[in-house]
Amino acid sequence: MNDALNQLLQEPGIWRAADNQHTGQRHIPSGFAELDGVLPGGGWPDAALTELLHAHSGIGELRLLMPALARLSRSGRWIALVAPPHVPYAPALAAQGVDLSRILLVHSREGRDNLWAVEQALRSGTCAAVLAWPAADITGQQLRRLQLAAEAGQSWGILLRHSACAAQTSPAALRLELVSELETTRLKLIKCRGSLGRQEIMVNLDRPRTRAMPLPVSTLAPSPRALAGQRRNWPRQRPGTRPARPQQEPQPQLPLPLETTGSDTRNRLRLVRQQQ
Amino acid sequence: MLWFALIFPRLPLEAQALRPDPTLPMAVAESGTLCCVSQAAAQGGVTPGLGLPAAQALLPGLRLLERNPVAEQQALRRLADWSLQYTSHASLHPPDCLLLEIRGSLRLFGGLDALLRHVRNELDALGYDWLAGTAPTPLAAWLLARSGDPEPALSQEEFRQRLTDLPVRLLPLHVSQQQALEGLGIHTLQQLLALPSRDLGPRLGRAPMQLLERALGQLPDPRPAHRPRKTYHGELELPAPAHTSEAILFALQRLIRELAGLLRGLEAGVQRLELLLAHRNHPPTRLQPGLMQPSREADHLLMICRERLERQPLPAPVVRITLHAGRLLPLAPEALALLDARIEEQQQRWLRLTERLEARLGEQCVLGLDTHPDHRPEHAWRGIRPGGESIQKANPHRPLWLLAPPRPLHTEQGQPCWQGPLALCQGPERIESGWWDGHDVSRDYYRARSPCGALLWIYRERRSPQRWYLHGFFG
Repeated sequence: MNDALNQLLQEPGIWRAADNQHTGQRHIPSGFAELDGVLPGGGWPDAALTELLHAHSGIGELRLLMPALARLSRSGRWIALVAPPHVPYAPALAAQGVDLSRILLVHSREGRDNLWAVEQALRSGTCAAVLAWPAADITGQQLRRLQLAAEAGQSWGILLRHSACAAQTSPAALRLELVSELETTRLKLIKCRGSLGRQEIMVNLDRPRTRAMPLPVSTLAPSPRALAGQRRNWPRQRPGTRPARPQQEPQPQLPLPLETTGSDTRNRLRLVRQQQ
Repeated sequence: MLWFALIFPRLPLEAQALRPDPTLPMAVAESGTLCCVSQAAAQGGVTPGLGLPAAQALLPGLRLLERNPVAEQQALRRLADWSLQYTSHASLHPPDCLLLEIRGSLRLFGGLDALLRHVRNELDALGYDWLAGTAPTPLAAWLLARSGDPEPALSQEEFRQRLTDLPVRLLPLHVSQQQALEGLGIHTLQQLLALPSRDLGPRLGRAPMQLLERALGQLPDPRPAHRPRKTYHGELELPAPAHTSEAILFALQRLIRELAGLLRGLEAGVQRLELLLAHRNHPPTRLQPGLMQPSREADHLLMICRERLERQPLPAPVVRITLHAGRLLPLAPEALALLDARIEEQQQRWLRLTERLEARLGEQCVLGLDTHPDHRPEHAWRGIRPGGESIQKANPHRPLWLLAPPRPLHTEQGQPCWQGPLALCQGPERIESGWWDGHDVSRDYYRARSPCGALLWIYRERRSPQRWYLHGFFG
């Protein structure tokens, strides 16, 4: 009986949902080890739609995307933002490591033009990621169209929507709901192509931990040799930026903690890139 | 400065007819005498200045054309348009000369020899006879070109040494002045220069010495720069009615190459061409070959025209061709061969996307992002052309979302509220700036957390009434 089942599974025509090796789907590392761990393929699904649902602005919906967007902005393709609800603030984006010269900002007066622009950007094949804030009344058919456009253009489409839309069916490859809880953020996987069941994880958005290069969080000082080796591996600094500071160096009391997190994110990203 | 003079000695003939057949003797006549003859006619003994009956007697098969000064001027203008691919400063020197300042272009083309080779190839393809001269002043270049000496004079000293070879009759002087100089036994420019100018003035007028001084760079000789029109319109009479598309394309090639030169100079491209083929006793045939995206490659445009032309049945032989390009679209310079073709393709797709978006939504709706050196948060960013030059000055203390304009917050017992009372986590950061442009601000910024977990960036006005405002989300 077991043999017969195994034989059946060997058939090339049989595709198992949990087995993503054969789908040819590419993935973009999210920069958060916890999230990469639960996503099939270890990252955001490329060439597909991702829906990010959140109830309020400012609970980390952009910070969750930043490590991936920073990486994509340096991949030679563009990142389009279609009709964002507020001004995407350039100094903060630059601080997150995003190459601003690769950002395309599209506004329009009518909602229909928005969807058209999103589809154009997804389909063009020149945008690595397209962020959009669709109206609440977007239909399943329109979503399907966008999903097809993302597949055609090999583009990562990100729809940021209100949590109330969680009940609507959607062809998106990944649907994720963000819930803020004081220090950390809870991520609920509503739908995830190639994965089983609903899952929930906790992520600290201010301290992205990459799976490829888990940096020690402890305060134990590493050996000087390890530190020297790390330094040697660091890529050349861009002129104008401060030299990367190893985390373990004695730090003055910083009045503004965001500074450390911001630069740490970038350093880690650089390390990851270097390794690849 | 280095000037390059191009003289087209057969412009009256070539403006009206291409060189279809080198063995066909042709000449252009003006008020009873010949003013320009083709090579074949010259070999038959016909020279400019000959009367019409004498010419007809010498060469019975001579084809005569009436001189058309308007066509000449148009042809010269089109040549000036074409020459803008070599320089930004081209100047017309009527009736038959172009002056190009090429010092700045030498490096681009890889030296004078390479530039001259390029010009020669292009002019041969266009079908013009030409004489060239290179010298540090426009008039000197013109004199060298007229003398038929292609050897360039790169400095004033070199040109001064060449004066012994240049006859006085090259100078554009009145006949009486020329005769007077002959009478004095002055034959070369060197001899003219040796004369004391104070004594020469009363006898011949100031003109000869002034011309010479200008050629030597002792007097200023400004030349107006040629300003091209933003459209292209070229017309060409065919010497013999054309029956085949090959013959039409042969003539069309000149117009297309002129257009391509202009487009290279303007860094532009065309997406739609208008081609008008005139027939005798028939209404003209109008063709509008279009392109998917703007182009300025002469071969590409010719291929498109060929395809279009070969599908088109013509009612009668073509006697005149008109090429019109009404809209010249901006087109980025061609990529170097070094670049990967894939990157080039990406770039093309990117252009197509932004063009489409701008065409439908308007240019101001499609933007790039950049930081701006200003302490005031609302002025620390700006929209630029997508993909334009950027500064990218990072500031990790700023929120990812900025509200424009800031939203006033209501307070409960002095505590700012946004979906509930806010808890201040960090601050204040004082920003006080901008007194010079009337938009001065004086604020204390805080980072605050709302009951629903959102991180906000809020500030309190330091001036009365000291209200609280929400200015951003740490999205």
